[in-house]
Amino acid sequence: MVNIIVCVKQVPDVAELKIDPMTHNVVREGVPSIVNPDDRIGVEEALRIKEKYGGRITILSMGPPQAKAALFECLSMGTDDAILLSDRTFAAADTLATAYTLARAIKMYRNDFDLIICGRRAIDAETGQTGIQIAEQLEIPHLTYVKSVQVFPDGKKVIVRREVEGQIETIEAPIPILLTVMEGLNKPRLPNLREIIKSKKKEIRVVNATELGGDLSLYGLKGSPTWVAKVYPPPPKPGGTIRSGEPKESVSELINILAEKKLIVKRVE
Amino acid sequence: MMAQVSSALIDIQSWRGIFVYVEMKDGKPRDASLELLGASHKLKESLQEEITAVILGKDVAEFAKILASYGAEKVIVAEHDILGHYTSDAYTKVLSKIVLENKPSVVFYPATPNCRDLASKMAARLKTGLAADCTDLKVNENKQLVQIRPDFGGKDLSEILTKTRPQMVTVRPGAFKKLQPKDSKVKVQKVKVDLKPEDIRIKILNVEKAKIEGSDDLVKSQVVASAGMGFGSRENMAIFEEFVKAIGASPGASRPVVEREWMARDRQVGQSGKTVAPKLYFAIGISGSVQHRVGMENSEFIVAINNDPNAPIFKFCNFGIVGDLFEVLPLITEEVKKIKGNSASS
Repeated sequence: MVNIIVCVKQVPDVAELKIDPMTHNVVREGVPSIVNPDDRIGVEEALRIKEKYGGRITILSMGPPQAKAALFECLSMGTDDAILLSDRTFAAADTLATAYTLARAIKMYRNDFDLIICGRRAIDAETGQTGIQIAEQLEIPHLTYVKSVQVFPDGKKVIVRREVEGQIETIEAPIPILLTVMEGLNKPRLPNLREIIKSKKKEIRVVNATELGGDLSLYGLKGSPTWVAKVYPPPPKPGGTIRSGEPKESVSELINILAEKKLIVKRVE
Repeated sequence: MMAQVSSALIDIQSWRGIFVYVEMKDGKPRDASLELLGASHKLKESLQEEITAVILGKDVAEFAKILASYGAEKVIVAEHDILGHYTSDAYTKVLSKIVLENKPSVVFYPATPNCRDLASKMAARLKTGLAADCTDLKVNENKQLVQIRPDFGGKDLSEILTKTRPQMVTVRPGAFKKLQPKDSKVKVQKVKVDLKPEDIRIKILNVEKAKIEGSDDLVKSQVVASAGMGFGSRENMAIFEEFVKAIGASPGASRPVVEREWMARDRQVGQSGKTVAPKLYFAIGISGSVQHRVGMENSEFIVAINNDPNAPIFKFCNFGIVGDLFEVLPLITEEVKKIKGNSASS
C-alpha cells in the first residue's frame, strides 16, 4: 500500500496565449485552462504505482474555484480524492508561500503519505521551485528530474533514476520522499468513461484559509518574500532583416551574410 | 513543520556582499558561474559590495586562482569527500551555513539543473526569496536587486523584487558575459566542513552516462536546421534532408512534425523537446510558436523561411525570407554546396 499525494496546478494553455497587437501585453481572457503537463505525468506515475502496490492517490492543488475542473480531470483519470485550497488570502503567492500552504495542508489532511509527486515545473511561471520547497517545509528529502520510480516490496524505500545533464543517477531513497517528474517518464492516460462516471461521486474538498488555519500572514502575497514589481512585453529583437522579394536575391543576400560571419565555411578535409 | 520567519524582522542593512555560487562541471568551474562573476562586476558599480565566489566540492581549492582571474575578490572554499558528487542534502547543509555566517545581500546561482535544485532548497531553508531563471539583473535606486525574467515562455518580462535577505536568484547561462581573465590577488577562506554520511538521506548507487540517443548531436551542434509543418508531408522532407547534409546541420523539428512522425520524436526542438543554442539556426516552414521559440531563441543567428509574412518567427529571427520554401530551400542548398566545395558527394 502506497499513499501518494500528487500536487497539480491549473495553468493557462500557453500555446493559446496571444499578444495584444496594440498593447503588446499577453491576453489571458478566453484562454483555455489545462492541467499542467508535467503534473499530468505525475498523476499517471501515481496511478501506475497504485496499480502495482495498491494505496490511495490524493490530488492537491491551490487555486481559484475554477481549478476544480483540473481536479475533476485528475479524478477521472482514476485517482481517489482531491483537495483544493482556495481563498483570496492565498492569491499572488510566490513559490515559498505556495510551498508553505501546500505543506501545511499535507500535514493537516494527508500526513500518512508515502510519496509526494510534483511536476518538474509549471508552464506558466516555469520556476521549478515549489516541489522542492514543499519537501524542505515538510523536512523530507526530495529528488528532482526523475526518470523512473520503483517502490521496494516492503513499501519503505524507492529506487529512483534521476537524469541530469547527460548523467543518470540511480538512487535509493527512503519513504516518505518528494519526487519531481518530467516529460519522458510516461504517457499520461486519457480520462475514460467509467472513471468519469465514478469521479462524479468522488469528493473535491475545498479548503479556505480559515479552515487551514495557522498564521494567515504566511499565505499569499503577504507571506511571499518575492513580489512582481512590473510586467512588460519584451523589447523587439533588433536587427532582423526580412526579405520578401525575388527568392534568388534573398538567398544570395543571406549566403553573403552567412559567409561574412563565417557561419558557412569551405569544408576542410 | 518549520516556522516561517516574518520578512519584516529581517534587518536588511546587516546583509552585505555579493555571493556567486560556483558549480563544478567536468572537473572545472563551469562557464555559467564565471559569467555570474562578470554580472557581479556590472552590479558592483551601483552596489559597492565585495564579490565572493563560493566553491564546494572535493579538491577544489586549486580553482581559487581561476575564480580570481574572472573577477572574484574573495573565494570561500568548502572541501569534503562527500561533496565530490552533488546531493541536495550535503550541499544545502554546507552552503546554508556559509551564507548564514557571512550574510551576503545577494546570492547568484547559474540556472543549471542541479543549481536550480540547490537554490530552491536553500531558499526554503533560509526562508528567503528566489527568482528563477533570470535573464537580466539591475540595481534600483533603493539598492534593491531587480531580477528580470521571462514569463509565459518569453511573452512577458517580469521584474521581481525580494523583501528578505539574501536576495537569491538563478541566472540563465549565457545571459551575461565573463570578464577577460587577468591575474589577480585574492583572499581565500577555507571553511571547516562538518558532514557525516548520515546527513545525506538518499544513497547514490550508481552514476552512468545517459545512453547517447541519436539526437545528442542536436544540443551540441553548431548548426541546427529544423523543419515545420510548411513541408506539408513526409515525402516532401527530401529537400530538407538534402539541405541538412549540404550545410552539415543537425536536423530538428517542430512538435507537429514529430507528432505526425515525419521525423523521430527525439528530434523535437522546443518546450517539450530539446533546447538548442547553436551558432546558426534555420527554422524552415516553422511559424514560431512560443513552445518552439523557447527551445531555440538563444541561438546566435536565426534564419527563418516561411510563406506567411505574419508568422511570429519573423519577429525574432536575424534573417527572414518570406517565400515558398520549396523554391527557396533548394536555392540555399545549391549555394551552400558551391561554398563547401561539394565535398559531401565526393
